[in-house]
Amino acid sequence: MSLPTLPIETVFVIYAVLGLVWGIALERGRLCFVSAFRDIFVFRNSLILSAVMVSIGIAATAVGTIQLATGVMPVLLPGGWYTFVGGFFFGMGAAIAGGCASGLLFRSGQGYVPSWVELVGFSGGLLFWAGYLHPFVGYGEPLFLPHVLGISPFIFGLLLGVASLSIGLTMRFRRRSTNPGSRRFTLSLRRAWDPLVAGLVMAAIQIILFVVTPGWYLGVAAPIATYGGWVLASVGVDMTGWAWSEWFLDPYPFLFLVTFTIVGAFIAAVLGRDFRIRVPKKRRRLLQALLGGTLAGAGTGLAYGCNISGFYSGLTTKWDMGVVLFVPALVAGIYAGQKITERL
Amino acid sequence: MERDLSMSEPDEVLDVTGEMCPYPQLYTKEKLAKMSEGSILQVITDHPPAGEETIPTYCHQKGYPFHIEKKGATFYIKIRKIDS
Repeated sequence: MSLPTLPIETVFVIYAVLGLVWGIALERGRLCFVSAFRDIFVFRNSLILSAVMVSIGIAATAVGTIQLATGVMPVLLPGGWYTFVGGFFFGMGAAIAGGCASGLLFRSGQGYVPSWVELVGFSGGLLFWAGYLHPFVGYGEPLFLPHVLGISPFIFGLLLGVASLSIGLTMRFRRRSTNPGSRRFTLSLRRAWDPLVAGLVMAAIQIILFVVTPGWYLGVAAPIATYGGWVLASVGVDMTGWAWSEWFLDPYPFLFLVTFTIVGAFIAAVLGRDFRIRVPKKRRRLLQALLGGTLAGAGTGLAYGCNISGFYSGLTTKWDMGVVLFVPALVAGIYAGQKITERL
Repeated sequence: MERDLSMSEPDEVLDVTGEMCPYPQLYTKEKLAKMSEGSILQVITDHPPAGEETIPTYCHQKGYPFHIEKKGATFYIKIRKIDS
């Protein structure tokens, strides 16, 4: 079975719709990856992480099955010391700024001024990497883990999927303290969603992306760099030879995905009566957002991954050597960033 | 949730509007630690995860009765500190 190649205009529309749905799901489910880990470290609350693990479990199993049925390989990225160092700085910067790469998108739509500032910093950090760090790194060749281990991608996806699903469901049903709360297992735009609903929607989006554009997966960094690239181009900065500079010129599917994620989050926030321009009283929070965002952006570039492309897509789809280095680095970075944040 | 808390006057008010995670729950925890048993803290936050999840879960873990009222995008959370 082979997957169809769709006209690019159709792909743009599909990515825009998926972005809109993803933005709504992230906003309604308040699916923040920094919180997923921080809530475990600080508050012993596993609600969000359990939703993320269940989502990963379902998507990994499905993607492995699709790989078996179609022979489509995921687009692989290099992995090495830069993945670990970049992953650590991404996690640390995201925790300091208050949001991961997807978190800053949906909070921008909710009206958080620090997230707008973080978006600027994140873009600046990515462009700093693209222009000034990338030439000195010396990226290696990607390694596909199922090939390294000598097993089929289907078996790899199944093992990883079942493990992740088991961990997620165990966390979910063994929560020591449950909060009656206001989050429901619903798709109503008027109510806050159980994060598991957002996780299930996200898994569906990941599976559709892999089929619509064979081998591709959720990622948000390049479009954020593109926004900044447009600004630099408009003031006459020569970006010839920069990494990703081809993405500063013509539209591409992920630009639609990410832009409409912000739009979807905005619509969901307005309909759910959660939209508000939020300005922190402590002005240093804006500096935190800018510096944390810059660190997170540069780390994402260095690692070729953020919480979405490196962590979520790494575990559900990509399965390259980078994910083995990125995941522990991300968790360590969030922990370090949290320790710094508590003092700010 | 404790019903009579909705009618009670708070002893202290902690306004953390504009702050995002982890600060609303962190400041709530710190403020409650300094307050005497039986007193009531009102937390004002416009950060959805704090009003819906993290602060109520913290209260649950500590056994503190609480009452949440949402007006627009803002949550008003009254918490009674008790011996736990």
